[in-house]
Amino acid sequence: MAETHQEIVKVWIAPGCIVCDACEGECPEVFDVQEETCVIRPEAMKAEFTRPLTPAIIAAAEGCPVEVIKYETIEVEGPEPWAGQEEAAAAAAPAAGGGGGGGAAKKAGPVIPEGPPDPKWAGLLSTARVSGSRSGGGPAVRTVPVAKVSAEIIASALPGDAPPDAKVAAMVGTGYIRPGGSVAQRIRERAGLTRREATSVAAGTAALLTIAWGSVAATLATMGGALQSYLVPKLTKEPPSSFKAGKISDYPDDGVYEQFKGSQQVWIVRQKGRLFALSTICTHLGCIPNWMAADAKFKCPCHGSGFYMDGVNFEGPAPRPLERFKISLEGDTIVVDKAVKYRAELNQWGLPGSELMV
Amino acid sequence: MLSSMITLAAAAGSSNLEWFKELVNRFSVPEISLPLFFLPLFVLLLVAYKVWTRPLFAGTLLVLFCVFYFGSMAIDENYRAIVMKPDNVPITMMLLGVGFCLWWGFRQAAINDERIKAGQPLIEEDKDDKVLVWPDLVYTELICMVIAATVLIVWSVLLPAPLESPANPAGPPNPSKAPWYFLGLQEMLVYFDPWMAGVVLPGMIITGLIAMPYIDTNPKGNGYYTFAQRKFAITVWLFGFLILWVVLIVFGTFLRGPNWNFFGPFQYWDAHLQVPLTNVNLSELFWGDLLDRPLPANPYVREIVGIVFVFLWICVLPYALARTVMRKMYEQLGSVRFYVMAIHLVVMAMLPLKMVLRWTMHLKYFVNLPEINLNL
Ligand code: SF4
Ligand code: FES
Repeated sequence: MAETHQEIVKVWIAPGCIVCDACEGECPEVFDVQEETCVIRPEAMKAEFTRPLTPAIIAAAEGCPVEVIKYETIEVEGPEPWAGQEEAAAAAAPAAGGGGGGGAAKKAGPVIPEGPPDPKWAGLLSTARVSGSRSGGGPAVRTVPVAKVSAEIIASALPGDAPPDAKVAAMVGTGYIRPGGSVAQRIRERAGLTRREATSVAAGTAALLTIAWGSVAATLATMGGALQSYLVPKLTKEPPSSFKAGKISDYPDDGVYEQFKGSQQVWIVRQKGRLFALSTICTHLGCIPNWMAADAKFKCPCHGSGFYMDGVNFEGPAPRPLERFKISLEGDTIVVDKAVKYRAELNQWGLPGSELMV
Repeated sequence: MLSSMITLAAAAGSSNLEWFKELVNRFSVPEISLPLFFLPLFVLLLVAYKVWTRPLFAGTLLVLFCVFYFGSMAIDENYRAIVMKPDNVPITMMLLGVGFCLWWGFRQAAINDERIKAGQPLIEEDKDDKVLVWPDLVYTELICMVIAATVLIVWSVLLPAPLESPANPAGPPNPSKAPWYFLGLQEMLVYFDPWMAGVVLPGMIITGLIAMPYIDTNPKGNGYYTFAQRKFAITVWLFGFLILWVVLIVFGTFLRGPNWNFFGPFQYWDAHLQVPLTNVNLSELFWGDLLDRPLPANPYVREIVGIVFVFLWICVLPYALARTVMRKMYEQLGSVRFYVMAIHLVVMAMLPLKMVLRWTMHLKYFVNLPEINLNL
């Protein structure tokens, strides 16, 4: 059985390229990474061009994190023309890389051809390496970055079903690809600045970022302070819960006395020989009912609850009677204490303190 | 200008329209107008959607509505004062807006349903409504922004914000009204305890809205208008929105006067109007009217009927529905989806139920446990 090997006759890029630059690093003769996507250089459309570059293209295809590089191979008789070269390279750089994790130990070494290329292909390679640069500034000589670790080694260190972005992360981690470079570097590449200019732009950017984050921090700190001063009560002295409500002689007849409605939210009611202090807070949702003398009832303007003169709810949605406050005599002065409440539904009306007999 | 025209028209429209005003006033009380006007209207809206959405028909309806709605301003100053009050102007806009959206949706649905029946493609199928962000969308947004800003400025200049004097606890405004968009809630509060109408029911409106896309996985109606294919969903939604929200807002705004009493649209807001509103709890009806006994002292025994009723309504009714009328839906949705849906449904149904019982039996609360602040 005659020895055969595979050579690539056609290479193309399926949709989905993430413009990561890896393939161009691996095989710049074929791949041209542009702003939006990676393309195959026109000269690399021919089989004669790609066949000798088979190993580099395969390496690029395997190194592509989203695996969009596709190729077609043919079977060619004879041993791989580049086989010797690869071994030589491996021998020449035995410990190159080494940072590829566990995988590095298993593999013989980096598979990237290094050292003098096979003279058979040398001419071709040297022309191919002269190509238009991405920024469009005319032809420029690009040097092939010498990869320290191959994509294969990195990939083999990861579980087989690792997602593409894990591969990218691993490659970035090992320095195999450099997706962005430093800020200064990126600015330089984009704007065609000199190293010194780019460094100063980067310094400016850094200063702006510092200011921006500084203001964010300052804003948060101010808001925190404001929140604290909002939450901590400014007023530590509460108004006294009890007040003096005059003398019994101020309430001569049966009726509702409204003089403390505004200042204390209390009605003083005299009814059938009793004097009591009713809260003006509706037991439905806390509105302030009106005393309608003509109808002899309290009527809430919010949802229409009605209360008899004694505070018992009889119409509308209020679920329970108005609350009474503690009422007592100090000498002949009436004192109402709003801190103590008497609720009818808890059978507290009639307890001492809920009313005064007059 | 506008107001002088209205005054002129008011002078022209003589007082022999009194019988009409009186009729409308009598008819507008919720216990009459909800079951006899709004509900039938709602049913008609759904049943006859292919008829009333025809442009000519809908146009006539719009004209009739405007004649009644705006024309009434000329014949009655009470009504005019309510409609022209700056706070209430958004309600007029809302009514026209809701009407337009309803018409638009049902019109498309009517056409689509005809097409589906005839096996023709939907309206949405042969139009590609994709637009470019730039310039189409951005320009549209720009124009909308300019129009909206202009309208807001003109509006705020013409109808100044209703700022009042500083709050005075001794003399709250009567009636005290929430902002117009909350008046549906305020109207609900007439029938429920604040804990229910202020927290539980609004909370369930929100959880229901959140749950909707998870409950309703029916692909019918996705991306096209239809009514025939989504009868249950659209009916329930519109009942909640139109009857339990929009109509209640209109009631709360236009028809609730001093002391939150109900006033007809052409009625003078008399703060001393006597309306008998005495309500009784279910426990009083049960122990007093039915068994003719005094109320038991133990509050839980006292409220036992209400507690059992609420338990049946909220816990057993969904189960019963799943076994009987909604069996097919239960099988389609699975138990979790179905019960989330059914519980929201029965709670929503509690509002109209409570309204009806309030009108017919003066029912105040099913369960009235002020001892532990629990009232349903
Ligand atoms: S390696 Fe793949 S993703 Fe990266 S630039 Fe090349 S084709 Fe695009
Ligand atoms: S707050 Fe008084 S009736 Fe609702």
